[in-house]
Amino acid sequence: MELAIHHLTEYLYEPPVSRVALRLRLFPTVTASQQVGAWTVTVNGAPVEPAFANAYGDSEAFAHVPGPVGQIEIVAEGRVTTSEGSGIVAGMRDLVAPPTFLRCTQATRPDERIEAFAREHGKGDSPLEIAHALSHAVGAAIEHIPGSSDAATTAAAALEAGQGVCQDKTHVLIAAARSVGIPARYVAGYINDEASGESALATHAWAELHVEGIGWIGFDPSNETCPTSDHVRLCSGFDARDAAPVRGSVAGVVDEETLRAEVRVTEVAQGQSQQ
Amino acid sequence: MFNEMSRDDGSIRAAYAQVAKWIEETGIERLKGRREEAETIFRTIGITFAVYGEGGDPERLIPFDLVPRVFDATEWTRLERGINQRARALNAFIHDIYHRGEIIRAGKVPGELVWRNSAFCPEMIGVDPPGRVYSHIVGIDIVRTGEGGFQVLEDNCRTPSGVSYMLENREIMMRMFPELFRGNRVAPVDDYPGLLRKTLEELAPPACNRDPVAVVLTPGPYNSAYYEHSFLADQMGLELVEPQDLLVEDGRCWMRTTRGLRHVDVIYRRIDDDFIDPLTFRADSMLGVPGLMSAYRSGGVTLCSAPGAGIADDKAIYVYVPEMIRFYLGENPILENVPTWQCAKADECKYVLENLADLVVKEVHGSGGYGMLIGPKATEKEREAYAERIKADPADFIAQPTLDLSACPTIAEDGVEPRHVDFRPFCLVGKQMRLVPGGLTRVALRRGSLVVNSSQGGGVKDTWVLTE
Repeated sequence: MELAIHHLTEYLYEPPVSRVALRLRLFPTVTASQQVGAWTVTVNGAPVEPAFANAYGDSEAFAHVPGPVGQIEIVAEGRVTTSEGSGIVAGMRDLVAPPTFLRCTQATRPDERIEAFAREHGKGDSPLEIAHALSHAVGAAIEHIPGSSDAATTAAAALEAGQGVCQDKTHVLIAAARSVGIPARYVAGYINDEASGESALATHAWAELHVEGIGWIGFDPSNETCPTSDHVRLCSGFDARDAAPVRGSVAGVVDEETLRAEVRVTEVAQGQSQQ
Repeated sequence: MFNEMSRDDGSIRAAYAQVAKWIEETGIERLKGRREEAETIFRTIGITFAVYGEGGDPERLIPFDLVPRVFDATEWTRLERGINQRARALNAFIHDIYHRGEIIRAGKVPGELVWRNSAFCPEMIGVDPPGRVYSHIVGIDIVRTGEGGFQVLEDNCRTPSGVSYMLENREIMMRMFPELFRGNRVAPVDDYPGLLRKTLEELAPPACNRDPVAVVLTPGPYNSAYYEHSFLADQMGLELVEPQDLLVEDGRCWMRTTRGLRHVDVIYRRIDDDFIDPLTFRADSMLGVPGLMSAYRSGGVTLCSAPGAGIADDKAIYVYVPEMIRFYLGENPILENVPTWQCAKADECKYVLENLADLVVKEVHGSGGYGMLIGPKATEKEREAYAERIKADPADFIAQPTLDLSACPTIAEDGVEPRHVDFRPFCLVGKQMRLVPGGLTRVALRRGSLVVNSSQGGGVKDTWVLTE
């Protein structure tokens, strides 16, 4: 499936700041089931090229905007061709030993509730079955209610509240998987608007769990599925903060910072893809 | 107890002949008077050391004892070989675990211990720093338990502090007692700053195409080791910079100067990994340089030490250092480890819990002597409370026997008495290894005490290495 993607991130600073430094991981991963066509990333109109591929296999770029600057507009856009891969992540240059992803972070530290949840639902005859069961259980345990959580909500708090968004579901799945000894990582990416049934205001998120004998496999607890050709993988990390496609650092005093994001993912009709 | 100066029969070891004669000729009263004089000089220069978590005077002086600690040439030759060997193996280990992990594949070091360790930095996987050096200044804490019995207590691969005391202690001794240094029998240590600068400059990054510019990066005047940061920068003739003086652009690092931006090639940073770049590590860090890791990864700047070097000095990894020496160098360790029980292993943990009264127990991730239990000195109640902590998280603890540290003559109230000491040399690792003949001798000033940490009532001494 060929997908056209337009991803805008806008920051407004009041008063204007003296400098903004950005770390960008806005370059879709190349895998066996994901090919990247024309792809550009710009910051206030200036193109940004990736500086290196990190250990997770993601391309990274650094950009800075000298001040005084009151507005930053980051645009990532282009086309990605995806195919069905049953969620299996293949063909990535990934150097991190999977057990490294058994580490906890503040956002993914399991509390007793998550441990009990993982024990109760993480049942199956194989690690793969356990992974599927956990992903399904997380989808059922957390109701999708936009605005019910924020960027700092932890997995423990999200499970207790029983509500959240894709970030929260992913954090809970990661915490639960790690607590039963399955390495898990956070993936940031895009999802076809038609598949999610809405136009997203932000990037999508899901988890990848490492299953012995198979490798890394994606699980999207928000859609209770493994990633399909509707998913576009950007980058990964230990949790949402670590896998953030855009991280910024501002020099100067900021009274008010406003963030606006907009993501449009549409399928390119067969005839158009030839152009 | 091994007395470094005198044998059991009262005779004086050759290395200490001059020191013994000097003590006798000077007399205790004059020595005490001159000690006060030394303290006044230290206070005037401004060498102080803040102590975390103890409250009180943050500008407290580390007590300086006038009686030097002495190694003879033969002892030093062996120490030097052992220190260099260890520093090479530690750097080889760090390179290996961030690349193929051969030592893990060979089953010599458990992978989980590395990968799940918070000191292991995934961002460093696959990164090749210039010269393959990760820890450029290796501080190795060595204790002596007998005539030839030197053992390594711990390694410091990040930014070991204390070298300014090595230099200042010598400076003061030479100023106060020039007669002791006549005849050049004591090897000089004053070329350390020059050698450190050379070490930093020879590991300039690929992007550097002219004379390399190195700087010392400090978190600022509120840091407890700020004195040392400014002292070393001054001695090396390098700029001392704070994070806000640096910025990253075009894959390089730059410093703001009164004449505009100037490129920086090598950063001797005295800021912890977690804080050096808010875009990669802790986002709330006010001490970082945004984008520094990107410039580092792109070969635009060298960081000394490399991020993630601390994995090699983690106390859980320490037990494997002799294995590293055999594995990477194919040599037998010249300096031994102190026997260590890993509470992560059930049988060793059982032994530790049954023998708490005889052991020293340390937190795996602790440092500076905090959070440890000295079994023989603790009360029954303290031991019971500590045992509960071990049972709750066994993997967080290691235990060692209570070491009978050697003692050196030290000025006490009633005369010159033996006090326990340890030793921290500073090995420089660049394109070649460099070790100045000396280091920091720490002394437990309280009679019978084995705790030499400056944060817990320890003092320092000048350390002499005698030439042939």
